[in-house]
Order: sequence, then C-alpha cells, then structure tokens
Amino acid sequence: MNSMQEYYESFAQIDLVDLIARFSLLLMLFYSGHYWFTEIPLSLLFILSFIFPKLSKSSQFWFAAFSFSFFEVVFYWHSADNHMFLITYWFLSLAIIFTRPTVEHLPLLRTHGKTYLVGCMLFAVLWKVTASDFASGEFFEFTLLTDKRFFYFARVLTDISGANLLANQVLFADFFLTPESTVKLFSTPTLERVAAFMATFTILIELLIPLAFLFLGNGRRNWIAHMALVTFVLATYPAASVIGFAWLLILFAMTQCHPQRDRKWVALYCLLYVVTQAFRLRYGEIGDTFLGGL
Amino acid sequence: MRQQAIVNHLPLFIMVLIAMSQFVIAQKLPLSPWKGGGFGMFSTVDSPQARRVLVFAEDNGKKTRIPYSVYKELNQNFRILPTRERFNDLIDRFMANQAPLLMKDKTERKFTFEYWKMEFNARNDQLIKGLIFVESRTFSR
Repeated sequence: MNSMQEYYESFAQIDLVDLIARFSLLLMLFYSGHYWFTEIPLSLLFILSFIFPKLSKSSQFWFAAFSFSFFEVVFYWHSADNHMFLITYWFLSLAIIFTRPTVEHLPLLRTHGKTYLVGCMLFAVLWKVTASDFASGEFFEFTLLTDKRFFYFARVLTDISGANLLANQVLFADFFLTPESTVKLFSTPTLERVAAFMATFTILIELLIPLAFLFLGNGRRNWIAHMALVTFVLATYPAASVIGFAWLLILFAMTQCHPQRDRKWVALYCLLYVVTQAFRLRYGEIGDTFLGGL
Repeated sequence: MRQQAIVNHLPLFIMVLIAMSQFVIAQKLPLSPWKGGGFGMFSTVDSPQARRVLVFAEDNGKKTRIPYSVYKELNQNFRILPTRERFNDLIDRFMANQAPLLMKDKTERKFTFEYWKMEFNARNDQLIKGLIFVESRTFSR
C-alpha cells in the first residue's frame, strides 16, 4: 500500500453490511453507555468483538448490547437523550436482522435505517412547528444568548460582544436563585435575525432530509438526500455537540447507499465520522486563545 | 411469513409508538419535549433546565436555601414530568433521605419546597419565572 488510490480500492472491497456493523460497534463503544452498569458491559462486548470479529454479525451479540442499552433507557428515561432511544432500537434491529439469511441483511438494514432517519427527522419537525417558541426564532435567540456551546457561534455570526454573553451566562445561571421574577438579557437586532434564520433553516433542512430519502433515496438524484444530510451534520453538530446523534444519522444514511454505485458517499460518510470528532473541540476556548478572551 | 415480517420490523413500530406517545403525553401533561424519546430536543426553551425545585430550611423565621447538590438527583428526575403527584413524591423522598441529615442539633426543622418554571420573552429579551408549586413540611426527630 503506497498510494491513496490503493487505499481507496481496498476500501471499495469492504462489504457495506460489514462496514455498517463496524460503525455500529464504534457507536456502542463511544456513545451507548452513560452509567457504569451499561458502559462496562458494552465496552466488554466491544473488546469481545475486537477479538472475534464474527460477533459483529451475531444476533445474540447485538441482543446483549440491546439489553444493556434498554436497561439504561428504561431506568433512566428521565435523563436519557433521544439518541439513546434510537441507539437501543438500532441494536434491537441488528439483533433481529442478523437472525435472517445473509441475502436479507442489506435490504433489512436499508428499511430500518431509512425508517429511523425519516422517523426521527419528521418527529423533530413536528415538535418544532408545534412549539410556540421555535419558528419565531425565540428558541435560538435564547440558546445563542445563554448556552455556552453556542457562544462562539454567536460571536462569529452576530455583533454581540463576549462581555454581554458572559453577563447573560451569569444572569441565566443565577436566575432561579435571585428574588427578581424577571431579568433582561443582553441581545442585539442582528442576533435576533440570525436566530430567526437558524430556525427557518433548521425546519427546512429537517423536512428536506426525510422527504429526499423517502422519494429520491433510491434514484439517481439521491445525491440531494445525501447532500442535505451532510449539510445538516456540518451545520448542526459543531455547536450542538451531540456526536452520538450525528454518528447515528450518518450510519442511517450509510444504509441508504447503493453498495457499488454510491461508494463515494460511503467514503464521505466514513470521513464524516472522523470530522465529527473535531466537533468535540471547545471552539469558544480555542477562539479565545487566538482571538483574545471574552 | 406475515409473523416474520412483523418480527423483522418490530423495532420500527416501537420507535413510532414511543415517539407518538411522547408527543401526545406532552400535550396533556407537563412532560418536557426534550425527553422521553419523542425527538423534541432543541425545539423549545422549555427544556429540563428551565424547571427547578428550590428547597429552603426555616429556623426561627430565618430562611436558608439548601444547596442544590443535596437534592440535585431528585430535581433532575422530577423536572422531566413535574406533576403535583411527583412533587409530593419528591418531598416524601427528601423528608425520608435528605432531611434527617440536615437536622444538625435541632429536634424540629421546617422545610419549604418550591417548584419554579422559566420562560423567555423574545420581545423584550426577558427571562420570566413563575412559582408553580409550593409546600412546607416539618421534620421532627
């Protein structure tokens, strides 16, 4: 192996079902367990699959992973993030799919991947269009003003000062503890416009993704669906750093790729797995280092 | 054959069922849209963070706030679905587990529980909070 071309050719030989199973294992290792009683057994399962690679396509193996994940979601439903529910469903899907003959694996993975992708996006849109404070931009304005993860983006995309964001952070953190029943946050008209744009963009792209995968997913114009998903991941997860969710969406999109015809999309999704890890960086702190403090 | 098809697609039915139930329940009860498997995260200011229980101890008419860390877990559980019944349950648990540890040398101590909810008014960029439930209980040795 001495050229990128050879690496790519070697990558092109990998079976798509294998690849999906491998990325599911990574998902299991990094983003499935949040408590010791799930994190440890799931890590042990991953180690077993590392020693015995055949386990990645074993129904019993995925049923064990599902059981631990299910346990966490049921007993900690009040703190479990939505992607923990999706991960649990996905493990059950793999447990069921790998009971079937090999020839049925890819078609079933495609059906399950598409349903999860379309389902979670449509429910997310349903919530956003029925919420009283999303479409108007109120939610994003509040988030840009008070959520530390979004501060760097607020500073880059709007004219709000770092000092005002810092003040908002303190006002928000102490709000429940102060006797005042109202408190005014620092905002700017530009920030309000950016928040309104973010709300519209989010609704449109979260609607485009499921519709495109539903109606164009299998045709020649499936690039629209893949492009929409890649745009969504790149636009959303640097700020809302829920990498587990990003990985799931990429995995579901990967199941929609044709094993031969869409090899470049599969390669791009593999790359996206790597890129999303960079979203764990604390941009605000890095930005402060290079651009000066708040 | 049909039975096999149902088994093959079982997780998909479960996902739709849970997400739909979460949406319906959240319209009728104060379930946070962010939690419960319905994909309502990042859709509203009404996240669990916008809901908070405060606990105060009262000694000779002087109110002291109990540090949040003492009952953080109780609050985190309660705020996802803050109904009156669950508020009473939170108080019962606090009185059984936390209150005895907060008695110091006293034989009797009154605790006041307040549940607050926060909203954001974008027209004037104001955070607004409202007291939803309040209740006092006395712990005696």
